[in-house]
Amino acid sequence: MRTGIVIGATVALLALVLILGAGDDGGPNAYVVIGIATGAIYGLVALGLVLVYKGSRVFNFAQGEFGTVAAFTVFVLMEQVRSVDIPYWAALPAGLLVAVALGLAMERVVVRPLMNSPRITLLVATIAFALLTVGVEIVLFLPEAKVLEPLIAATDASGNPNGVEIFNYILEPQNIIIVGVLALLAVVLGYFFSKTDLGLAVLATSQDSFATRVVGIGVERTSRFIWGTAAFLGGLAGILYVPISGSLTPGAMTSGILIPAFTAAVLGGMTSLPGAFLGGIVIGCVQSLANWAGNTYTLTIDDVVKPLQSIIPGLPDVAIIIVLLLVLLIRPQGLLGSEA
Amino acid sequence: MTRSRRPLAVVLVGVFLLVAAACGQKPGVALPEGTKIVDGQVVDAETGEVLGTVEEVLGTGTTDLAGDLGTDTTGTGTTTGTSTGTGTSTGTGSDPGEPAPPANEPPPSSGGNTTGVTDKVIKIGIHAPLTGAAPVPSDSVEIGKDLYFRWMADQGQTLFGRNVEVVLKNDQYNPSTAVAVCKEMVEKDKVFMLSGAAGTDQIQACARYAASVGVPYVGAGVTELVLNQLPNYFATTATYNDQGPMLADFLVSDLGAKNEKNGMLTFDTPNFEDARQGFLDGMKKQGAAVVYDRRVSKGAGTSEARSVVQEMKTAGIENVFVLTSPVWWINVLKQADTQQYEPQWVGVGISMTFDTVASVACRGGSSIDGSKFFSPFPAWFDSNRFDPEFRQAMNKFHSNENGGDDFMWLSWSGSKTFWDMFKGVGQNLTREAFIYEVERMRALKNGIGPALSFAPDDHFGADTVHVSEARCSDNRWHTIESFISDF
Amino acid sequence: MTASATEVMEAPGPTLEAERWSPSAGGWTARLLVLAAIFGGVIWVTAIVPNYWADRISLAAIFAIIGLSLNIVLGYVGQVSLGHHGFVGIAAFVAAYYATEKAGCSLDACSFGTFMTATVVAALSGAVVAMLLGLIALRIKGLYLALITLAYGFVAERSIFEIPFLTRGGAGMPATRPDGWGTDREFAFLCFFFLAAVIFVDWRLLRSKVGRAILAIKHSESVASTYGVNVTSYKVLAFILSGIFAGIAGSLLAFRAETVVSNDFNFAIALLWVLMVVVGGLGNRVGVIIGSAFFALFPFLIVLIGPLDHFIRDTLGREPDYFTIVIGSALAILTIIQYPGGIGEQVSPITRWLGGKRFSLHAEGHGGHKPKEAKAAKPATGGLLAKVGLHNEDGTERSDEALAALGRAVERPASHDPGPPPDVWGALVGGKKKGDER
Repeated sequence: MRTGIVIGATVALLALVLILGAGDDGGPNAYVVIGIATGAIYGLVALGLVLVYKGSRVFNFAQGEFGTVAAFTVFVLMEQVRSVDIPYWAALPAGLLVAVALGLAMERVVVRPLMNSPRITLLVATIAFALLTVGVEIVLFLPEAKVLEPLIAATDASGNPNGVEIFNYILEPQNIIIVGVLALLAVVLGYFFSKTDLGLAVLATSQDSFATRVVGIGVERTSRFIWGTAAFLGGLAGILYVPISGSLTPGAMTSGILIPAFTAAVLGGMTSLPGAFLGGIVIGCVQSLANWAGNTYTLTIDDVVKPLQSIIPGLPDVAIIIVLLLVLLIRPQGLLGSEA
Repeated sequence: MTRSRRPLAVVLVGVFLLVAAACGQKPGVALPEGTKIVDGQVVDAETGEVLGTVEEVLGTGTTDLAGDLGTDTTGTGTTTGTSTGTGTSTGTGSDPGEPAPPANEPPPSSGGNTTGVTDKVIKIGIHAPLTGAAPVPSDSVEIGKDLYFRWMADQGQTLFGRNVEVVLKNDQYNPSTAVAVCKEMVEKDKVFMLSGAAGTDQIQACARYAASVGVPYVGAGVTELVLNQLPNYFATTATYNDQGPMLADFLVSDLGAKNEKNGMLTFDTPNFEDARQGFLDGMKKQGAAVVYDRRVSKGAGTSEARSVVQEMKTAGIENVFVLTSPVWWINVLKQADTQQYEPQWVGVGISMTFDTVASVACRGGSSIDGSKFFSPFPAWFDSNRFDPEFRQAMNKFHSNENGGDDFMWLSWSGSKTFWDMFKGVGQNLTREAFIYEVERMRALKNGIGPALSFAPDDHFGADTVHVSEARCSDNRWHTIESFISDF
Repeated sequence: MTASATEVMEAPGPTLEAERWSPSAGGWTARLLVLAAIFGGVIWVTAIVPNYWADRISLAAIFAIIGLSLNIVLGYVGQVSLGHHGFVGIAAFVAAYYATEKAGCSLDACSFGTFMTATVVAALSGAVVAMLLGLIALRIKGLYLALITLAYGFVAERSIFEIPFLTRGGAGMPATRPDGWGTDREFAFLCFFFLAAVIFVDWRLLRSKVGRAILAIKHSESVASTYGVNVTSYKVLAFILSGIFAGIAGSLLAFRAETVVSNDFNFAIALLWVLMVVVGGLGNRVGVIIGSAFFALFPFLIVLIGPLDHFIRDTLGREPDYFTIVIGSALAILTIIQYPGGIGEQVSPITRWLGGKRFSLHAEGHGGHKPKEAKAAKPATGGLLAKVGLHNEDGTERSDEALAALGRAVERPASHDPGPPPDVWGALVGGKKKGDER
């Protein structure tokens, strides 16, 4: 019920912005589209963060790296394996597989031993694990940028765009795929965790392991399931996002994605999967509209007209941090979360 | 979270050693405005009036010359007259108040500092970012650093019986580390001089340390802040100060940008201020407008890239001066490709013109095609045009490298400049002699990088650039104009 | 089986015997000699190594101060700070700004008095900034506080460190080394003095009422407050002290580098600092110092090992620096999982001996100051359980659940419940019943 209201309110707000900005080429409409497109990735990563939080009550700092690792795997298979020509549709599952393997390895090495430790211990451990992964990426692949192709090319052979143009912004096919995948996953996972037996059981584990043991569900199995799924989501995010970011470098999914994703998860409520979806979209829009506002609105100081973004450098970053702080200080359970 | 991907503002900066010669003095920096050199004398460009010899005008006098020479076209004055500027006691540049390095004494005839020099070897130390936010591929640099010297030895050439040995250390793209490795190279490896491969902050930090211990420092031209007061620092490529106005000139004269919509897209970092301001001033002087001045934080990501492209596309910006990190620019190019936005991209600095940038950006689309950037060096692709010996050396010593890459090419050029400098100093090679002699070197040309001319109060020796163009037909940069300062 | 059970039975609580033992005169002399040898060794090494090594040693000392600062938040208060680079960086800029802009230090000379004042000002700035965090920490704890520290460091990095008057527009804010302490060697000794002062303050603090209060709060806030401990003020006080140490470190970093540039204070280094404190051993002063020094010097130590350096560069074709992150984080994980006491625990036989206890390889009892046992409780891993027995009475393996319950039973009292130290014996015998308690 509340979910519906919150989602409805957000949609209404965005619609309002779109209506107000209609017809104005320099207006915010294109930026709303950009916000949704970019926010979809934040949402996808946030889904993984929320899942881990529901299952292990910890913030997983390595969530981004599941994605980078998957992207590197696809890269290796498609670009560096010369003897056989591996098509995208075969390399992609391989990438996801490697990501899941990493997630399970992390679960076994780091999460399980610390199952009953204070959560900040586990937090530091996830940070260390993320750094370890990035370090290994650097050693294996060197810091130089690499290229990964998108699933569907942005332009066809003659250079015409393959995507859809909305409000004067061309949405390339990969972006549409990302938004679609996010929506689908949010619905599927949401359904899974609230309506199916297994899903409910997994949730129960996190709330009360003792009771779960009474019922007979293995703590370890659910832990593996959660981390494997989170790694799958992370891997998917990486494979989908890297091609449209221009280049693949070590730590690609952590720098620039993880903090907004965390903010999205916190905003949506760390225990709500639909919240992650919503939070991602909202944060994407906040970031993008902040860019637009910074460029459009000006202040006149000493007779010099300056756009906002030269007065407050890094306005989008500041906007995201403000959202994070506001949520944490005012309503830590976020929009759709259920606990303080 | 790691920053290994994160190119900082500095990426654009510098690079390696450098280069060579062109003739002519840098307008407006070494000389008072409106003057030029003819036959070793400083004359007024318009009237032809002789104002004095080069030594007199640029020597280490104690009076301020700028006021006189700048405004008084009929004056004789080098030592008299009313001064309107603020000189320093060590000699001035042409602009009042522009700092200049303190004067260097002539070297002692015996007993100078010969650390790092033996009968057979001159040792130099180079710091480069091999890891960190904007790294340079270490294997390329390892090959490149010795290539020229190996070639010369193979040809039987020596520097008065000596050859050059290069110590290379990683500064991790961090200024404190740069100082630390420079210290180590001076104290432990006992190098004769230091050099900086990339990174404004690192070059500044190490050059400053070098000044404190009297070690010569020959590095890339980056910002002039602080560096213009160091007696031991020599810049061998054009600085941001220089290139800003040059770029404006290029845009208007060569690309016809005067009545077009011009924009600037930069990282909001203080070290780029020189370039920004220089460009804006230059554009104003050319009578062209910059209608879009966009700053982005150095941690910018895809959202900013998309937003910026949308802004530029909607505003119809036709020419964009971009001064950010290569990785973020690649991101912007990707978004531009998707939005079918293909402005004329221009810029300065070396790291944007690495072939790796072209090959990655061309994969995504064609927005980078036709981009024109200044570079201190010609494109690797064109190396045979400028010095065929580079390929010969590569084929001889590293035949499996397929002619090498641009990093090795730059190293070659830089090494050649070092060689020429050492040769110019002579048999009696001391640190003092090196500094003294180099700052009097006028036309140091290695045929690859800019021609270098130094003066005791002007250690920024380069004033020309090459213009490189990105071509997606072969995913590489190509040189379209060379040794040019005036468009 | 019974042997280990007996061990366990004897373990809880210090025995009267242990409290009364005290070293003989000879014992004290031996301890003093060893201590002198250690300190003397450090000083001697600093005095004879080349300048550039002295420079690295001063960095190690500064890292140790930062480690101790972070240790207060991480080890004593029990919260994660992912934004410490903010505190240290702001302090560094403040110190340099004061010295150059306000007190008139030039590029060649800076008086010692100015340096000291700058350090005091930096310490104050650190204290103020940390106090803000402390106030927030009253309301928000744990993971969410970690996020806030992250946000804080982020804002510092993106906006505060880019303010032109602080950064002198890219040239960086100068901070010339004080007269008389300018060479690398002299500066290293200066850093040692400050490190010693910080250690001293930290030591006295922990022994004092303040320290005991802070630890009690960490153990259990509710119980502490019922005992009349003013949770609020002690918590904020801890943050303030952490800020003061961070400020001192920031000032030293500024004068060491002689120019403060924002590049030096980034998120990566903040993470490194957290890892080094973890590896050092949370709450363990000696361990944190060793761990910090290790992380500061480690990159230079690798290249000293010729064959290894060669192997990495030539055979693998990689820069040794690439491995720093890998090894550092691997060590951190190893510490958290296997050796939660970190370096501190590994050297604890020596430190305990030096402190006047009988030499023994095991800690006696649970009493006394043994912080961090709450972190990664050993029972949850192989350690204690192995001692206690992974098998039931009838030789079958204990189920995962039972083990987990055991772990929780041992763990919970430390984090939620007030009262007696973890009752391993009770957990062993009581089994599931203990697990019932919340």
